[in-house]
Amino acid sequence: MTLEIALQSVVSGLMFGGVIGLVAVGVSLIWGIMDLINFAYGEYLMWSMYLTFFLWAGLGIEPILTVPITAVVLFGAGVLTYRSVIRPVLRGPIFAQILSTFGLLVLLRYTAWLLFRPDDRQAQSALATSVVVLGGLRVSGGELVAFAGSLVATTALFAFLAYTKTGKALRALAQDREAALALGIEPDRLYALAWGLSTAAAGVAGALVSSFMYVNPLVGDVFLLPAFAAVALGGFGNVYGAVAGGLVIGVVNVTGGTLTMPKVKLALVYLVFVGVLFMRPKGLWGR
Amino acid sequence: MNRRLLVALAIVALAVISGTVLAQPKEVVIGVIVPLTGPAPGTGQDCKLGAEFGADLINGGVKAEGSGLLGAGWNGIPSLGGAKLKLVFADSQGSPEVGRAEAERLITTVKPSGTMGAWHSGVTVAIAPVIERYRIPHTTISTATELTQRGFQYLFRVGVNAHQGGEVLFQYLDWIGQQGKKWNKLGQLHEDTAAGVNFANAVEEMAKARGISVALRVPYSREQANMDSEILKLKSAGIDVLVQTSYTSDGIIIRKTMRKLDYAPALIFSQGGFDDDPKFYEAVGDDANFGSKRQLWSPALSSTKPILKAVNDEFKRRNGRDINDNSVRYITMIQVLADAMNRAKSVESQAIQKALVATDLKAEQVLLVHGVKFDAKHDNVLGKAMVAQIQERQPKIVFPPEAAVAKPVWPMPPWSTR
Repeated sequence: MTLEIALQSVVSGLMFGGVIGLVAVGVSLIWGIMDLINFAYGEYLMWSMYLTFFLWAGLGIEPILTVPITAVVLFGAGVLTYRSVIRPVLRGPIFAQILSTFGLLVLLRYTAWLLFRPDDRQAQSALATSVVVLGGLRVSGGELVAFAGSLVATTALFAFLAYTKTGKALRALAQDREAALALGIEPDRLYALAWGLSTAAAGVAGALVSSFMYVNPLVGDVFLLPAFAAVALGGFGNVYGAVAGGLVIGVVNVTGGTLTMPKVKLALVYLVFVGVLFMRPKGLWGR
Repeated sequence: MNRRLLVALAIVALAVISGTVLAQPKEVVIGVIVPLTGPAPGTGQDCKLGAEFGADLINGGVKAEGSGLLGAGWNGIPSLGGAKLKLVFADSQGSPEVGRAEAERLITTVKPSGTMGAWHSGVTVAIAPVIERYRIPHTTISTATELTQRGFQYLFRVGVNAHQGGEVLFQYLDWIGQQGKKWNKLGQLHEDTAAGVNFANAVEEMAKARGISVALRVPYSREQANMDSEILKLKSAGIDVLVQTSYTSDGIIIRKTMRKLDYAPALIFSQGGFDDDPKFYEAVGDDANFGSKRQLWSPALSSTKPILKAVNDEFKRRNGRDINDNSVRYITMIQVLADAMNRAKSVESQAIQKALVATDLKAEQVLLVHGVKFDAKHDNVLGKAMVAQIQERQPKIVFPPEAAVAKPVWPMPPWSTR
């Protein structure tokens, strides 16, 4: 193992981790604000990838340029999901909430199965196959853009949460629901917004990964499982930690796989995940 | 005996005779289980086109008289009064569970006289007990060696098994060595279902028998977005002869990752799979070039089989593509089943099974490079392969020399020059 290979694996891991981080942010946002796990999150990502694929196949739009479209469509899908499925079960027991998102997973996955069949499809993009070489380290154009896009999207979300009045209200709601209500914050509209933002992140991620990953009805799992690990690693409900968690997961995945055997790379991810939970149950950056 | 009785007897006799004629089936149903959707839809499509073309050959729709091909000049199965083959397709989706359920559904609903499939070794492993339970004569091209090790009576492997497919790799490496070309380390990269594991085991065994050690073996699971660690591992180990078993989607990610990480071994050798699927070529374009594969068919072999070009031209006219390793094997499987039914003079499963055991088709009678004759385990003893290198996005035979239509490019050129 040369130093060059080790460094390359870290760079590859960071690229992959950036995308995992963006997916993790979407999961973490809902988790932090509503104390709700969205098990169907990977399915929103999958639907976004299909949207990108069909925009490319039908209209010839370069996958990366579909980002605004998938973001807006998925935002709408999130708001709709909140109003039609989530709001009615919010007052129910926690199990009703968990089961409702699990039901969504089944519904979204098998609707896609019915409509699109289980074929693997992939948009072809010149950008994705281009290779960028920097100081002997190599990344593909598609990965680089996905990584940059992830950072831009998460930074925009941070800025929104930190500096806008609505963002602050969302954070207030996350910190103490009763106090926020007492201050006149209207939770219903904000919850809908949180769902929209969360699924919009899946929309952005879906378009970004489409240039280098094929889509089929099961593809959500490929991203969601590492993203859950990233969320737990970064601290439950901590949006900032989720990105960091994603980067750690990406590096553990690729560098760990390269240093040991690639077959065990997912096991390594979950080993780190269990280890962190054991020593720091709130996650590395949990509060 | 009065005349009325005589007439009555004559009528009864006539009825019995014509009855036996009428009892002969007008058509014979063959069930074909292939991955029409799922991770290898392009592959399943080729298999389907091959099976349809084969059935049309038997049914008299493909003009190939005088070619010596089995079924040429037939108009249905001769000994069954010209009964036509009717194919019923079932979609395995590339999944063992779906494949097994579909096989059972096919057998119980359309009652086929024979079945074939399922292309993916892992799916064939799952459906073999089903066809055995229902006693349906079944032909397959799946390579997993274990398929014929379990004593199935009704399963017959028409194509090569993992060992026969791997054999040609070592012959090729010997020959390459004689040409004064060098290589250092043999490594394997394979998906971790039956096809990948069986082939890797076979290659490992054969390498060991020749005193070659496999320097690195990298199994991987198919569903993943990032294969960087797999390629980095191979690159850092200096593997320059890489044996790869992949299906289409993973094969695409691997080839793109090889380019990205600048990993170009001297030889990539596959047992088919990703590099038989047109979708692989659509996705990676010229990056598909210079990979090598085990090849069972070549339209360019026309010096020994002049009919091949004509048949391929007809296939291309109908389907807009050349016959490839998948379609050719499905054409051959139809020929094998039709031949057995013809010799059995029956669509009864035990009779067809007995006839299959006695199959003896010469290479001239089928489109494959080899003939078909089964051993006690129902492996094809005549099974053998050639090596093709992808040049200009087409598989060109480069070994053995007597069949070669192109010179192998060795080593595979570095990515920086492509």
